[in-house]
Amino acid sequence: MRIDVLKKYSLLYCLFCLLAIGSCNTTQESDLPKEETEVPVVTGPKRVKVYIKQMKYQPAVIEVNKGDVIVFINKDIVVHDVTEEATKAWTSGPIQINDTWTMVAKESVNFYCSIHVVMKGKIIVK
Amino acid sequence: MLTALTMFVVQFMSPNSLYAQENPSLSDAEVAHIAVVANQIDIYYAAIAKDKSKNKDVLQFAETMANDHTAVMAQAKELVTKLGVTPKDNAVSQKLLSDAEKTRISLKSLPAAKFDKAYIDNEVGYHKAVIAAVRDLLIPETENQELKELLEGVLSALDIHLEHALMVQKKLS
Repeated sequence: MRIDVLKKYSLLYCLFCLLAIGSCNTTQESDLPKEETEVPVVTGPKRVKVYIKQMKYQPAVIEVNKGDVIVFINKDIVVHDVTEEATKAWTSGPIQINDTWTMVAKESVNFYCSIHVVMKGKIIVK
Repeated sequence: MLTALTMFVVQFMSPNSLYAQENPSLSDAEVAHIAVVANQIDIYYAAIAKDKSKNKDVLQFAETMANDHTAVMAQAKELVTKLGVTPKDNAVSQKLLSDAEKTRISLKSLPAAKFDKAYIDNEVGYHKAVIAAVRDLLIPETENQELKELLEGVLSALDIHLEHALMVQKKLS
C-alpha cells in the first residue's frame, strides 16, 4: 500500500519535472531568433595567463578571442607594466612583484613595458 | 673602470693568473658582497644622471636603473639574511668601488652638454662588464642554489638594461 503511494507521487513528480523543462525550452525558443537557437555550443570568455619573468612576457604573442580575459602575473625580480605601444592609450600602471593585472581583449594591439622599453609583446584577437 | 673589471674577470678565469693561483674561489659571502656593491654603484651613477641630465630618455633610463638595482639589492639582502650569510668584503668588491669612485668624480665634473653621452657610454660599458662578471665569475662560483637563481634573474635584468642603454646611446648619437 505504502509502495503504491510512493510510486504514484514519484510519477506525479516526474510529470511535473517534464512539464517544467518543456515550459523553459519553449520560453527560450520563442524569445530568441531562429538562427541563434541553432548554435549548438555557447562558450564564455577564456582566462589566459601571461607570466612576466626573466624580463620577458611569456608568451610574448597572445592569441585570444574578443572578450577573453588576459591575466598578467609578475613573477620577476623587478616591477613591470603593460602599456599600449603606439599611443600609450592605456597602461596597467606598475605591476609589483608577485602582483597581477587583468584586462579584457578588445582588439589586436602591440604592447610594451614602459619601464623597460625594449620588453615587448603582442595581443592578436582572432 | 670597465676595462679594469673585465680584466679582473679575465685574470680570475685564467688558470695561469696570480689571482687564480692564490685565490681559487669566492665564497657565497663574497659573491653576495660583490652583488650588493655592483648594484649600489649603478644606483650612484643614476643619482648623478637624475641630478644633471635634462634628456627625457636618459632620465627614464636612470630612473629604471635606480629602481631595479634597489629592488635587486633588497632581495639579495633578504636572501642572505634568510641564509644566515654575512656579505664579506673582498678584492673584487674593493676594485669595483675604487674604480667607480673615479668614474663618479669624472661624471660629476662634466659639463651638462657632455654628460648624457658620457653617462650612457659608461652604462653600456658597465653593464657589459658586470654581465661578464655575473655570468663567468659569480654564478659559477656560487654554491647556494637560491643565491645562484637570484643571480640568474639579475643576469636577465642586466641583459635588458644593456639593450635599453644601447637604444638610448643610438638616439643620442
